[in-house]
Amino acid sequence: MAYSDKVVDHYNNPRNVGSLDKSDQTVGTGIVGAPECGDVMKLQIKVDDGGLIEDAKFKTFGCGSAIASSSLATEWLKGKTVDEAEEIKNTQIVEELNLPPVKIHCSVLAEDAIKTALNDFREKNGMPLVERKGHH
Amino acid sequence: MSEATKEKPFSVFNEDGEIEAIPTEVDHFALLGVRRKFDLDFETLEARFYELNRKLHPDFFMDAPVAVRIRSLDATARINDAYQTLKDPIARVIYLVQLESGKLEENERTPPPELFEEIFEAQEAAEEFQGCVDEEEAANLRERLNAAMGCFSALRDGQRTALDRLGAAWDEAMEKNEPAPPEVVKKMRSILGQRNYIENTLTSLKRALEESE
Repeated sequence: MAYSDKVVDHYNNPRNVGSLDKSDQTVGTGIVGAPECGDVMKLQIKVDDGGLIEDAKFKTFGCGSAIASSSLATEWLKGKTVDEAEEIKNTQIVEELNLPPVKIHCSVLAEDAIKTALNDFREKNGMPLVERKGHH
Repeated sequence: MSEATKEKPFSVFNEDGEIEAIPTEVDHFALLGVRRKFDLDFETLEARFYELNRKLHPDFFMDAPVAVRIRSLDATARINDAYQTLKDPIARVIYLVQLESGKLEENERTPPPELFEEIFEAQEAAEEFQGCVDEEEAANLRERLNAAMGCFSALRDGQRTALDRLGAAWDEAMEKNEPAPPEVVKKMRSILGQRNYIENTLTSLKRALEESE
């Protein structure tokens, strides 16, 4: 199966690879996995005093589409508020990266990682958690 | 094995000896005429597969009408798929668990945090090792990778043993026409849900260590 140019670009030049300090109160961490393929993804956000996401990092061990999905997600997260970030949908990732149907679960994984990281940040800061809705 | 305990296989041929279309709901076990259980009767499986394969091979239907040729192709593909799945111990377990208790994708997607921490540690060490030029550091990393390799191999072996044990318990219930004990189902699904993470980590560790040789 051929990857789209955008996937290849993110795969070859992943943006924002790395880690943030998990114990930092301004950092939210989301660690998720896809049991069907064994891909694992860690996505972290750092929120500044004004409530904006100033930094985002990821570490993904998995296929090209999973790496590209999380790389793209970190790009989109920066500069957004926590609530705005909640609105990022896997379907937008699918569209942007031109993911084929068999790789849609990679975008779902990225959305899961974002939402888990956002809730981790909320929990650390005494904010009400956003309940997860079903997807697919 | 006595005749009484053998499952009557699905009949691919009708009374006139023509190939029947195989309905989708016929599962791999019924198609190959083996009992639906984890501890498979391998001899029956193999014998039945070769027997059907001989009879259904598309080469025998080259001169037949198109509809028959297509049915022969479809049937051959189905029995191949069934045989490949059932003869592989892990593929068989995954298949049977899903058949009896629903798709594994519906499993919870949040894995145990301790396992994930170890996976990230191992994967990151493997990555670091591959880009490492400092000899002393490389030696340290290699030691860590080997240790991780031992841990994850042991984890995989433990899972296999557990799957065998749980499968036997499940078989016992099926023999008595009882539903599988819920805790057995839950444990098997949980093990299978973690399996790919462990396999992927082992693959990365192995690749990193091999490339350095």
